[in-house]
Amino acid sequence: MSLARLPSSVANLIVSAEPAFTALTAYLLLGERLVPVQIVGAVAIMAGVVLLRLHVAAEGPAER
Amino acid sequence: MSSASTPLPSRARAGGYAVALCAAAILSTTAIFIRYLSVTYHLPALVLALWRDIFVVITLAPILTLVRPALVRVSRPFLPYLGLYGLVLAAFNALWTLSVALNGAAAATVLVYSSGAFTVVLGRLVLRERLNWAKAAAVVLSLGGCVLVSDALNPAAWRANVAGIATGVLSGLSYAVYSLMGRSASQRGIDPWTTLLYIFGFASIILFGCNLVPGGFSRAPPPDPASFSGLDDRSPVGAFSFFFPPGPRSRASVYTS
Repeated sequence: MSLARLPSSVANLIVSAEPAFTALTAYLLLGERLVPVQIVGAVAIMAGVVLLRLHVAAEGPAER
Repeated sequence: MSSASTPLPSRARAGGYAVALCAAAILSTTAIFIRYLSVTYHLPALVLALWRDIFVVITLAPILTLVRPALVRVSRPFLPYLGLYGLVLAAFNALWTLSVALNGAAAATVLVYSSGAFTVVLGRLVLRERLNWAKAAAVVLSLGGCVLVSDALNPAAWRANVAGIATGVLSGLSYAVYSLMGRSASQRGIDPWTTLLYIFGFASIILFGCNLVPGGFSRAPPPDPASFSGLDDRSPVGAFSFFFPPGPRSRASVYTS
C-alpha cells in the first residue's frame, strides 16, 4: 500500500525503522535495554543501511 | 500504482508515510513475539522457526490454490534450486530465532540488518559486482556496528555468550545469501509467490527433520534472569505476527530487486 503512494526508495527507508520500533517495544514490554556501546553500534549499522538504500535509489533501477 | 512522472497529492503521500511506518511497526513485533515465547514458555528456537514456516505454508498454499492455481505448480528443473534456497531459509530462520532467544529482540533485529554489508561483500566476491565508496563505507559502518552490538570486543562476552555472538553475525550472513538467492530466483523467471511457497515448504521439512534429531538441536536456550525484569502477561502483541513471513521478505526487495 505504501509503495502505491511513495517511491520505493522512500518506503524502504521508512521500513528500515523496524529495529528502532523493535528496540522501543522490547524496552516497553520486555524490559530489554541496550547499553550505550550497543546503541552506538546500532546507529552505525542503520547508518550503513540508509547509506546503501540512498545509494541504490540514486543509481536507479539500472544498478539494481 | 503511481508513476514517477505524476506526483501524488500531499495527502496521499502522507498516507503512504503512515502505512510504511505501520508496516515497520508490525514487522518489529515478530522478534518481540519470538522473544516472549522463548523466555516465557521456553519454547526451543528450532520449534518456533518450524512453526513460523509451517504457518506461512498453510496460509499461502490454499490462497494460491484458490486464486492463482498456476502459481502452485513449478517446473521440475527448478526444484533443486528451490530446495537449496529452502535450506538457506531454514538456516536463516533457525539462526535468527536462536539469536533473538540468546541476544534479545532488539540486538538480534539490529544484527540481522548487517546483511546489507554481507550482501555487498558477497556480491563483490561471488558476482564480481562493482564496489564504490558508498558501498565500502556502508560495509565498514555495518560490520563495525555489528561488532559493537554483539559486544564482540569484550572478551567476557565471548566467554559468556559465544553462541549469541555467532548466531547474531551468522543470521546477517545467512540473510545476505537468502537475498542473493532471491535475486537469482527472480532472474530464473520463477514467480515470487511460487518461490515463497516452495522455499517455506522445503524449510518446514528441513526444520522438522532437525527437530527430530535427538538431543542438542531443539533444546530451549537457558532462561536469562535479567530478561524477566519487565516481562509480564500484559503483552498486547497479537498472534497475527506468526502469520507473517519473516521480516526479511520485505527487506529483500531492497537487496534483491
